[in-house]
Amino acid sequence: MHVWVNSATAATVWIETQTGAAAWMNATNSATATSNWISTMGNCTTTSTSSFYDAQTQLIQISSQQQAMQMMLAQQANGLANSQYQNDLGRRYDPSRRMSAAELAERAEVNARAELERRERAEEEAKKRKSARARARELLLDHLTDAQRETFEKNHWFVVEGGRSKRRYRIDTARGTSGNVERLVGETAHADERLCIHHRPGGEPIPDYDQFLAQKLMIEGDEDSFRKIANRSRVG
Amino acid sequence: MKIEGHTIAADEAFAKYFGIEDQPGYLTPFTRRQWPLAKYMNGARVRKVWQDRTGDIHPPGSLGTVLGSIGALGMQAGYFIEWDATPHVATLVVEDKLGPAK
Repeated sequence: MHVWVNSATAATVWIETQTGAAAWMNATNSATATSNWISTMGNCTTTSTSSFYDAQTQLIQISSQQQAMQMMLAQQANGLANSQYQNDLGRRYDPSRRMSAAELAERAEVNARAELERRERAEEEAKKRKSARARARELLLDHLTDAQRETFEKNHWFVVEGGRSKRRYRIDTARGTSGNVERLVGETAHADERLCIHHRPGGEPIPDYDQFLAQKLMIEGDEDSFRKIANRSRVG
Repeated sequence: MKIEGHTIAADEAFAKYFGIEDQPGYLTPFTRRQWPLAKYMNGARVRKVWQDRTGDIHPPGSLGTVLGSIGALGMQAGYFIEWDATPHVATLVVEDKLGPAK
């Protein structure tokens, strides 16, 4: 059965599934491979994209009334898909139709060209990311003192002094941007608190080195806000 | 995300995460990315080998071409298939339902 799923961007994804929309909605039903696939996907991606957590939570919260409505809509889906297809292509859907050799060759050429373009775009993006990363590293190094630069080069961390409290914070650059800031006890290397704070402008990823620089500048310039916004956890 | 008038948040994030976008020459959006653990590569010809009891629109024996695939660890892959019966339309199909064309 075909069901089309309209997204906020007016996109339409066709899904071939057992009970159409109901399989999407019924995240707790693990009886079929399809719904397993959908619900497992939600679980697997929660760590990568926070919005998936929202989606998964919402899926689980769907009421039985809504599920009944989805079942009803799923029953209508075949007919709707058919008329949609008919409207778009000006011909009726015929499941027994086979592509001719010429049509297959034409489709293969279109797809090969698109695949080539996709690879070129991916390579271009990888180059841009690499260049942005190098520039971000240079910028971070420009803002570090000699002592900070030395520990950064040698140990992949550097220590920053809080602008208000004058407490020392260690920014670890080897463990990503999550929970990589530790508040140190006095002049020792022991930490009593771990802080997690990073920036996602418009949801777009930025180079890690820019994140470390933003953390450094905020600790020095607005320590109170830094501590207020960050997720804090006790260490030891 | 809208399913026939019902809205679920985060479909845009879903599409972005998997690189699902409009493609020239196709009526429906899909991704041309290839899931590294996908059994069928992009461009491979596949045959429908199994359908749900309630019946899919494409019966077993239908032939199609893999346009892209998505997935995550611990689950079977999903494939965007252009069925011969519905050219210019990409349909998301789980791996269980597919077999090699020959």
